[in-house]
Amino acid sequence: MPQMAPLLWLNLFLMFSTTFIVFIILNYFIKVPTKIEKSPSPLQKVEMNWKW
Amino acid sequence: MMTNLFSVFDPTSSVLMLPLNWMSTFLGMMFLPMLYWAMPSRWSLLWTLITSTLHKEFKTLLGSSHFGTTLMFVSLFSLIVFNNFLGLLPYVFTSTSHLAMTLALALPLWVAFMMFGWINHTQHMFAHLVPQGTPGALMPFMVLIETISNVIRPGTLAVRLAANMIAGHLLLTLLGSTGPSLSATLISMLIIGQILLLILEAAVAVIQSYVFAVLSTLYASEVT
Repeated sequence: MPQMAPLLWLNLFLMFSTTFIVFIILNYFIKVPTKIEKSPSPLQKVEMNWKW
Repeated sequence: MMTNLFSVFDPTSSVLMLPLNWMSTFLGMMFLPMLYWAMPSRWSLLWTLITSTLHKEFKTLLGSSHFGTTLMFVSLFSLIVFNNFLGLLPYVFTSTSHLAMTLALALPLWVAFMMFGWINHTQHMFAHLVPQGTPGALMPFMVLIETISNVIRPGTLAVRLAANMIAGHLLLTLLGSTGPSLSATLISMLIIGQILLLILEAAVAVIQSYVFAVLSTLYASEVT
């Protein structure tokens, strides 16, 4: 069965591990961060007695 | 002409008998959207949506003390799903149907988790061997069972993915090989059956890659 023939499995292992790492790197740089909309907070009015 | 039932899965191509079919592993890279412009394209937005959904799923499993770890599992999912799905197209080689690929993905992950867990959190790992609420007399057997289930984890991860991919493709090939000797009505029924199987295979492709990623996330969260 071709699936179980250990032919060049070390080379294949290195190739697949490298492909996995390349996928991780690509996914890191592809991701577009989403902006969170902050609702404008109303201005806090502090009532103070104005005197010198 | 099929020399053998499994010759569909042979990675040898017709160019100098070199195993060039393994290059289909890199096909997924062509599908990932690249950010060339400031404004993301529609495909880029769709990909960000998929990865964000996965990120939320894995975040709950991993806990809040491990930010950034979801990147590895999301990209593991993307690698496997592209390989599975593109393998359904005609003449595209399914590299995840080979134990070489699935073991190459599952074994390093499992070995890394086990080594990290047993070296750094030894007591935690021992505690995990006995599930909560087992009666005292049953504990030795539970430890034995949990150890065995731990040890076969990379095997089950790899074989599950490979066997699912093999089974679908094999069924389609088998049904298709009876085609030349059928009458017209039977051929139309065969084609409808094959189309249904193809839809099933597409679903299985996505689901199996998801299962692989989720399980490896679970194994990671158990260790920490």
